[in-house]
Amino acid sequence: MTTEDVGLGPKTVHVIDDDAPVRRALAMLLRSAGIEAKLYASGPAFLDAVQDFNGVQCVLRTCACPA
Amino acid sequence: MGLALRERRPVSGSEVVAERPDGTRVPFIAYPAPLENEAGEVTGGVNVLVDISQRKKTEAALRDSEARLRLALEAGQLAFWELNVVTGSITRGPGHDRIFGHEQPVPEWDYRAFLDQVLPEERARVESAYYAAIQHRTGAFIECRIRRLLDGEVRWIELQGQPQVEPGGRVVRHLGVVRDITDRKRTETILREKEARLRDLHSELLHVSRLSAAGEMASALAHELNQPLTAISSAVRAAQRTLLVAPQRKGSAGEIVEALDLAAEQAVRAGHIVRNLRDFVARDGEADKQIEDLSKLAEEAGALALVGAREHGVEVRSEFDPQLPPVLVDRIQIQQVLLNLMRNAVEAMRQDENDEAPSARKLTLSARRLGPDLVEVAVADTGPGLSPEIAARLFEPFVSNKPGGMGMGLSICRSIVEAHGGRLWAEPNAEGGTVFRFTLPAASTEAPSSA
Repeated sequence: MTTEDVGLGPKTVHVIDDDAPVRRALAMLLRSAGIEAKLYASGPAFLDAVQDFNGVQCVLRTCACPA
Repeated sequence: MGLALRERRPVSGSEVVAERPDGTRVPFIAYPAPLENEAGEVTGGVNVLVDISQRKKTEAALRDSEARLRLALEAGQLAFWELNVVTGSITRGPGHDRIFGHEQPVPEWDYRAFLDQVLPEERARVESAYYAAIQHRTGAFIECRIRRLLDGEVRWIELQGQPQVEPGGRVVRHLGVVRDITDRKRTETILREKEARLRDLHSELLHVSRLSAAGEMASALAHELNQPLTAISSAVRAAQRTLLVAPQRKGSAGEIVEALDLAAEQAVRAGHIVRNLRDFVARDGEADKQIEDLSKLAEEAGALALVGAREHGVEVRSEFDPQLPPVLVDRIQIQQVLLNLMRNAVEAMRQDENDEAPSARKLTLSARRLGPDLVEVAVADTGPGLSPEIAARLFEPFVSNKPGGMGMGLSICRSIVEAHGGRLWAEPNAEGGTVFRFTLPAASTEAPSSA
C-alpha cells in the first residue's frame, strides 16, 4: 500500500485492485468517510486514465497485484 | 619301390610331390608292388601313382573350416561337446574342461561326471530338461550352476545342444556348446537390483511431489480467500461508519444495504473456496485407503516438516509403541495432517525465539494403541500454548494463532481425520505448550492389546 498525502485539493483516492468486489468494497469504505474513490483494475489502466499526476494525492493498491 | 622289391610285397607309399614338365607341382601317393614269375622270383615291379591334389585341397578347406570354427568358439568363449546318448560318454573340444575347473583336459568325461558338478539343488531340473530334449528330439537349452572342480567356485553355465537323429528316428548324439555365463548373470543381477532401487526412488519422488503439490494447492487456494475477506471487512466497515456518522444523510440507507449485500455475497464466495479446498484435500478417498505403517508415514512427513527445525534449537523426539498396529489410511492425506501439525509445533516454538531465557524446545511425536481398533497419534510442542480464545475456535477456518497465518491448516486436518473416522483435538501439554491428538482406525483385527 502506497500512500501519498499532499494534504491539498479535493479528497480523491485512486484504488487499483484486480478483484472487482474488493474495489467496490474499498470504494464504499472510502465514501463512508467522505472520500471520493476512483477505481482501476490494473496499474496500466490507472496510468492510462490519469494524465495529470500533480492532482493525484493518494493511490491505494494491493501489493500482490501484478504491475 | 625298393622296399616292395626287397620284402616282396605291395606297400602303400608316402606322399610325394612331382614336378611336371610344365613346372606345375602335383602331390601323389605311390603304391609300388613286386612282379613275380611262376617260380616266385621277382622279375620287376609296378608302381601305381595316385594324384591326390583334389584330396589335398579338400583337406586344406577342412582345416580352414575347423580353424574358423575354433576361432568362433574361442571368440564366444564357447566350448564344443558331443554326447553319445547311448553310452553317456562325452567328447569335448578345447576349453571345455577348463570351464568345469580342470587345469588340464581330463581323459574321461561323461554325463555323470557333468551332473556331479551341477549343484545338487539344480540336478533334477537339469536332468528333466535333458531327458525332455532327447525324448522330443528337440534342441536343449539349459542354464545351471556348477561347482568348479579346482577352486570350488560356483559358476553359472549355459548349455545348448542339438540332437543328431538316426534314420530310424532315434537320437544317438547331442552336439552342442557350453559357456560360462557367470559374469553375465552377475551383471543381470546388479541391473535388476538397480532397476528395483530406481523404481523405489521414483515412487518415493512421486509421493513426495504429490505431498508437496497437495500442500501447494492448499496454500494457493487459501491465498484466494484473501480477496473475499478483504471485500467483506471493507464493506462491513463502510456500513458501520455510515450508520455511526451519517445515518440521516440522504441515500445512506441505500449505501448500507449495498455494502451489506456485497459482504454477504463475498461471504458466500469465501464459503465456496473453503468447500473446494476441503473437497480437494479431504476428498472421499476410500479407494486410496491402504494398510500403512504409521511410524513410516510419520518418518517421511517429518523429513519434510522438520527441515531446519534442529537449526532453530528444536529437539525432536519420536515415541512409537513397538506394538503399534498398521492403520487403514490415505497415505497422502494423513501425511498432510502430520506435516501440518509438526510445522505448527515448530512455528509455535519459534515465536518465542527472542526470549531472554528460552525454554527447552521439544517436539514429541508419539503413537499408541488406544483400543482393539483405535490408534492415537500425538504431536506435542513446548511453545507458549494456546490462549483460551484461540483454543475455543482452533478448528474454525480463518482462525490463526500465527502472524500471517490463514487459519486453514487445522480446519483441513480435522476434515481429513474425520473423513478417516477419527477425531482431532488439542489440549495443554503437561510440560507447557500444546498437544494435538488424533485417532485413526487400526487396520488389524487382532486381540486387544493391554495399551
